[in-house]
Amino acid sequence: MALSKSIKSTRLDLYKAIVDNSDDYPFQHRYELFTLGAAIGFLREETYKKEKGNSYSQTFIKVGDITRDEHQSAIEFIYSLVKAELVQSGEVDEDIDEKKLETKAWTRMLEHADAGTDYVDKQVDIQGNFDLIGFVKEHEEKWPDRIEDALGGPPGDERILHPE
Amino acid sequence: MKIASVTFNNYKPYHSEVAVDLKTDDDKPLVLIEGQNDRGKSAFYSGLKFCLYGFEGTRTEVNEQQRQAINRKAAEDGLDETSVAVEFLHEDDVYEIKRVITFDQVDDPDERSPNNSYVTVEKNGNQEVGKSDLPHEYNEVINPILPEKASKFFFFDAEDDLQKYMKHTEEVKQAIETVLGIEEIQNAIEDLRERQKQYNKKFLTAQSNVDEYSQIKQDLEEILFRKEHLESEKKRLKNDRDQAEKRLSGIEEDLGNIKEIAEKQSKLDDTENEINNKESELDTKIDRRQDLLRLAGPLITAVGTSHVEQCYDFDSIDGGEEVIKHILESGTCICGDSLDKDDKESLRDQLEELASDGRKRTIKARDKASKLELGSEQKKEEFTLVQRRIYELERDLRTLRSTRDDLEQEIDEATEDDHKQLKKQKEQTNEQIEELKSEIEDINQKIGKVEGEEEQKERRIDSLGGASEDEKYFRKLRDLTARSKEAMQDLKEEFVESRQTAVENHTSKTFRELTNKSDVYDGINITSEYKLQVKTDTATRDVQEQAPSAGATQIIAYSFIAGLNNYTARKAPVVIDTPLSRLDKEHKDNLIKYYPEFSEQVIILYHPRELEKEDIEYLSEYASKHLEIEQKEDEPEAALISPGQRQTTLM
Repeated sequence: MALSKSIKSTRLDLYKAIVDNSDDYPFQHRYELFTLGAAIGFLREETYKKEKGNSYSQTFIKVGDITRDEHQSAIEFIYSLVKAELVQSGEVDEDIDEKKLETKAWTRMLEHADAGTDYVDKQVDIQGNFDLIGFVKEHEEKWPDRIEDALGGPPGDERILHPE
Repeated sequence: MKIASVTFNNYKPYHSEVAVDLKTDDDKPLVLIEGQNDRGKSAFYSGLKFCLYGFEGTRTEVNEQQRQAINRKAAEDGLDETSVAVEFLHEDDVYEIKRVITFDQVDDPDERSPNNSYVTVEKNGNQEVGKSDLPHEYNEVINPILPEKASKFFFFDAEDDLQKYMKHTEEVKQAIETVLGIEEIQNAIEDLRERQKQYNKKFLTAQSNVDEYSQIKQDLEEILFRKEHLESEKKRLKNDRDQAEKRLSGIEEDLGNIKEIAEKQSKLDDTENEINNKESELDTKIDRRQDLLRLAGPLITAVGTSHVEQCYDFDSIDGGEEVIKHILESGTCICGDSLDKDDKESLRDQLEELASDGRKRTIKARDKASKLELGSEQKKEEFTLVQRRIYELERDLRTLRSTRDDLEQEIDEATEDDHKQLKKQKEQTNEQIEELKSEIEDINQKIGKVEGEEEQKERRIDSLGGASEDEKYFRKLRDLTARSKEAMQDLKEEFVESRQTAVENHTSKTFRELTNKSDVYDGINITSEYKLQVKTDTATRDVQEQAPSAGATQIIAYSFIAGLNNYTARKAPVVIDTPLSRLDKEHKDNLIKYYPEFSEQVIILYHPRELEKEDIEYLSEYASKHLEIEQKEDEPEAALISPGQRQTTLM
């Protein structure tokens, strides 16, 4: 079933600068930047918290309405990890109500996305261009640790062997 | 004539004295001289010509050429003198010709200026001409060896001079006649004609003893006056015709350049097409790169999904759940042992964990991971390839756009209007030439008529008796001179015919050896006016009409020069500047094989790009010397000539 969560941001200024009014960036749709921001924010364990007078924008798009499957799947995967990490880290109780968990996880997802977007903007400022391969290489090694943070260590085969 | 050495002294890039030994063995006629652009290759070539013939042109032009010949540093250093000396062997005599330009010291080399110029000639160590600036004194020495007109076929720049030989001009015709020794016979005929006139005048002014005789002589004088006037008019018309033909040649050259513009337009069209194709590919690649860049988020995420799929494989665990349930139900382990209480508790804990919410979330994450089918490694690889191709295309486009701009600028300089105007000028000049020819024909008829009257009077005089002794004497000399002149004319015609056929045969033979289309071309035909025509199976056409490529044109000219040199009344070295630059590989290979046969001494000034290693190896077998023109290390504007780096295989 498609995710009905709304994509939005407290950093509308960045989305306007990077997606709406820039020729320096490749993005056509705001959700494209959101996916990148969410991945980077999650991997860097960074969140951009909503502050006073700093409200969320209107919804850009609902995840389920994104037409590019790659983006929808990536967002859903990261979201599944964010949810798992909240429980795994003990930040929420294991028996938390699923609805509450989803709300909290999606808020965290938005916070990661805003932090990641902010990071992308700063890096492009420093480097002078949007370096895709650089972004991928910089972050790909963080995945095993971050997945372990969310899901626990990979399962071992001993679990299905003789109990001894 | 064989050159033994040349010594440059403060001439162009050759500061102070630079002496070059050019002696060649009989079986190794070549001297190879390698030089990069602007090192002194053309200065070497021009220096030889300067020494033997001085500079050509008006007084102002000669002065400017002399000024440029003075080495800049030598002018600053106040070395007083620029000179080129050539030592050569001619019919067992050793000659040294030295041509000098004097100058004063200047602070700014741009201000350098020649004071005067002279030439000295020594023959076997004895002074033949001493510090002379009178051309006729020097010409008396050089003309029997190699007159300047003939030198054009021995010293030439293959890029420019050869093209001139493809155009029929009076100058080239004279040069050809000089080379073949025909000019000397013609000079003798002219001398006899002049002598005949003088004897006739003396006859006419000699004292007569008979009145009627005296009257007829007066009539004859009047006839001769009219005849001289007509001949003078004919000479003027011929001169006008020659000038018009020269102008026509210039117009045809300009039209030829416009033809080059058409070639450039075609090249411009090709370049535009290539630019369009590359721009289109670039747009596609940029779109694809944008597409891939927009996938930045999924691409980074795909690394994570791939890790989850590889390391969090729950298929076996799901199976494990079934196994644990089965073991618990049966009470027996798969190894056959019975389960005790602790074993059962442990298995139940595991079963509970497998069914926990956390595990469910992990399974869900893996499920989500499986949906991101991106192939991130391929995408990254594709991105790198796309990016590289974009750089290549942008680089290619920069080069192509620069070529396009250059071509557009060159084409702008010659417009359609120029073409029309030149065509019109050509028509007008052709009409003018035809009119002049017609006028010359009229004059010839008038001269013929006057000559008829003259003949009639002459016959009348013959029939009269009573001529004085002086009259008889000068009349006899006049008639004798006239018969000698006719004999020489007859000799010349026979000589021209035999030489021309011989040159034509050798030119054709050489051309067939050198051309890359020996199946198409039968040979070269030379008209009585020394116009070159290309013979094919089906037709004989003028070279310009045949419109061969630049390379083929050069080959025709080379063949013609070879033909002339083979039958020349004079033997001289061949000095070629930039010998192969316009030729394709096949023509080039043929010509390289031909060089050793070209003359008894062949000096080749070449750019390193003109000859490959294997060419050098081949030519080295026939080369007595292989030299290199270099810059002096401590003086970037000064050149020196030393044994070449590429002469390793010289034998």
